[in-house]
Amino acid sequence: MKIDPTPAYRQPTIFGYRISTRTLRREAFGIFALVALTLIIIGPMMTVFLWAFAERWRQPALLPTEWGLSYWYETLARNDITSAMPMSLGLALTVTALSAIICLPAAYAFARINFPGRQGLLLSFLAVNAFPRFGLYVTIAVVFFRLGLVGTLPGVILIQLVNTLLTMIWIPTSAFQNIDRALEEAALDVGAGRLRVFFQITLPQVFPALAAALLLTFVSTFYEAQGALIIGIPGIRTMAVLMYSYINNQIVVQYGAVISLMLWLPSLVLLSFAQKFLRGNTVSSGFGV
Amino acid sequence: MPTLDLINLRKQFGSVTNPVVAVNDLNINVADGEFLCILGPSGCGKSTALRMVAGFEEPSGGDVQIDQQSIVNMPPNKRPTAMVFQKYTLWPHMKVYDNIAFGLKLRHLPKNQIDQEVQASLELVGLGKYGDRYPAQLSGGEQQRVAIARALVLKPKILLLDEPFSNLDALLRVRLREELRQIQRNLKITAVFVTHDQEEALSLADRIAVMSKGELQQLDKPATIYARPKTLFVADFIGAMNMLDGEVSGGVVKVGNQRLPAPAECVAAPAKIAIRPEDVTVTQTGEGAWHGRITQVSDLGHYRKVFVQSPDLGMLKLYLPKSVEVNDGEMITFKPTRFLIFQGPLPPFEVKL
Amino acid sequence: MATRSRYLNTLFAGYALIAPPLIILVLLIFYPAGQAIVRTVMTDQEVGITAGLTLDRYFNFFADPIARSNLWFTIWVTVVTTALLFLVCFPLSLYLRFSNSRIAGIVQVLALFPLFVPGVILAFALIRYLGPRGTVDTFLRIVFNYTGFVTPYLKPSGIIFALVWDHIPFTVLVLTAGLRQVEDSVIEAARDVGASGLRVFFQIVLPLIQRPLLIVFCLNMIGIFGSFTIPYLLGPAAPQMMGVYMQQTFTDYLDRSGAETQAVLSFLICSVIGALYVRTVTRRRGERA
Repeated sequence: MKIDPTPAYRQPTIFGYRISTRTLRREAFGIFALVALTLIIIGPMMTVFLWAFAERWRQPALLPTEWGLSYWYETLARNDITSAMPMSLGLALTVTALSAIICLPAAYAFARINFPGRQGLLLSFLAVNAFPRFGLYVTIAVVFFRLGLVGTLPGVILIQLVNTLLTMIWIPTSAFQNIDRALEEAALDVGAGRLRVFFQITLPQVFPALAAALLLTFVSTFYEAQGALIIGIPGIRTMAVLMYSYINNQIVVQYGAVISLMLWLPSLVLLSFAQKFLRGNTVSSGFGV
Repeated sequence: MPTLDLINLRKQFGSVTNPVVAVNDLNINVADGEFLCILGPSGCGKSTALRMVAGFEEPSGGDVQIDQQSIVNMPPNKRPTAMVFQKYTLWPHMKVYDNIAFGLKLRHLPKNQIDQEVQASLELVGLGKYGDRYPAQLSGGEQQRVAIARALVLKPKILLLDEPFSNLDALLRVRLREELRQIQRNLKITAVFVTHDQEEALSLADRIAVMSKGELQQLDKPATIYARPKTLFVADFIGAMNMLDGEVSGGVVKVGNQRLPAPAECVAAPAKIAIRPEDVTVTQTGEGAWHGRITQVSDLGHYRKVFVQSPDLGMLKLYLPKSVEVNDGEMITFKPTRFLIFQGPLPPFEVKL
Repeated sequence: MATRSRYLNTLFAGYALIAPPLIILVLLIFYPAGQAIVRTVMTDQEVGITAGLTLDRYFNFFADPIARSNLWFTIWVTVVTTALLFLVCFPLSLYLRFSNSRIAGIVQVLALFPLFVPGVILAFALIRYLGPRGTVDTFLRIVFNYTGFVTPYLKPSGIIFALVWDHIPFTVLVLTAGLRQVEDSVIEAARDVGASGLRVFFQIVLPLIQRPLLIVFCLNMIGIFGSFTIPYLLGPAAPQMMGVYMQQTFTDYLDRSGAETQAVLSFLICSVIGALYVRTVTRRRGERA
């Protein structure tokens, strides 16, 4: 056997990091995806951002011809917006709180109490996803119309509540199921009472999943427009519903841009939390994955 | 005649300026039909080396040759190697038959030949009737047997095994190890087996490559590795060893209060003295003997394991024949019959008394 | 006896805890949907005449060329969008599964970003970005002096683009989570016995992620079929997607029974996929238990 110390090939390096050829090909795709997604996803968002701070934008120009905040004052002074913003926030908070009160104890029961028919009943909540959403709203609207709930706050709260059921039950249920029971037993063993165990051992373990469920519910309700449109009009107008008319009537572009940014604010908050729980399977557990 | 050569094989991760060297200039040659174990503690680079042979890691330098042909630029699916993984890695959606037949189907063999070879390889690992089951219906040991059959059915030039038995319980591990050895002998296949279990390596291998921190420490027959470890690491890692501090001067080495003979080639300098627990005899009194108090005696069947607290050597472990009467708390006088003197990175000197 | 009464208490507690969300589910989903289905096959009730069975409403629907073309259009958009989603999201998810680089981190954030953009804002942003004299149009005019840009706004392609945009995060999330369940060594074992990358993908990876794949397929199909906001704001006036058609029938033409018929037809068409979704999730949970 001859010992030939010649290296077979040289590994390429990028920015001082050794990269295998396989990695190189993969990351080439990564860069392509990065550029494409930036154009497709960040592009439209940036456009809205620019419009919100454009005093004037004469076409054709790549950037606003004059910058300023005056449309913010103007938008925030509009009656429809000053009434829609508290309506949206209040509605989202109410629906989230109601949903939590109704669903979280149920999630605990689904995870912990072994009653006959448990699996089937838990699965029945999948029905929310198994119907085409808008068709469902129409049939609900027909019922609400007869009950006189169209155009009223309770009507909008109820239809938005429907949307939250699956998230609020499935994510916490799987979180409660994934708890290591031995930890609770160990606490009971050293003499902690049931309530103390629940609050000091059980709850901290499911907290991230509960927080995720609450945040998702709040944001999706805050953004919910279809149900609110078909049930709420004309009595109840949320910010999201307002956007329909701002887009369709094309009044002033900046109004829409400013509302968009305001609507988007809660998402920014969520986005900062998102990285943590999106990596795991928390969110997908809300869809039965 | 499949042979495998790792030539100056090197793998580093991280940046060029701050590299983490996983495998450092590794040279190993495996002869045709040989069973070679790569042995080392976790993180020593043994698995990385094996994965470079299989093609799952690209070397940063050096070469891997099978029959003197470089394979580093071949993707894993083109290499004439077959691997058995630590986790059983059977494809859960395929029956045992399909798991084994998968590679054969890729090679477009006729159906009846596939049937025959799958059945033959299942018989080989003692699972002749299991073809119709799904992996989830098998025990861990059975799954790993299927994994071995799946690798062997392709008649690879080199069989690679990455700690294949470490997920199994102790008894099963020993049984599968013996079965594997038998199969390898019968097929005369060249095999490389990675493990952190020295007992496994000592009982399986024709030769053992001991690795530490990415470097090859010693490549020898099991008996040689045990009797003549080349480095302090190997001496300490393989088997039980008493490590004592000594000082060489003028043909003697002073260990504790005793002087033992040293070869003339030894340098006058501090040294490490390595004594196997079985390389001691109990004496009455005499030149070159130490004394100490017995702190613990365990009966291990055909011999006794005795811990001795010696005033100038510290705690020592001795294996004594049952003919010698020892009891907890008694004083004992003993001297070495054989020891190794380590000085710096040089191979040790062996002294027999 | 004590243990028996304790067992009954636990059962009672279980049912009591899950009752509230279950009641909402029944009242707001099963009841409206069920009664809509029944009413669409009943003759109109008049005083003194008992209702009979009839399929008139469905004959009427299919006799109407506009209704027919809307239905076909909806099915077409749903199929095309779902196919495109897989084409876009599979490479992305595979990349995210196998890369740990910093680029992959950014790509993941970008791909999940639309999760935090509500449909109304998306519609508004896309009009400003891709619409006539939008950012892309202007950019092409100014930088490349290219005037041939055809806007997808108010065209089927606009709906499809926006729906793909909207469904990327969920698809990527579920596919990536599914791919992460497939261990490296399972793939390596297949490479080792000689399978090429493509073959590993089709014969090992795809069968192993069958369930998440089916779930994401079903939810995307149903979600797109039942979408409203995006086709309403970005789509052409004709043909319309069913969501828009229903809303128009319900709100503008005040034809509640017509809207109901359209909704029930959507249910029927999606029921196969809905059943597949529920079955996929059920099978998975059954195996787990």
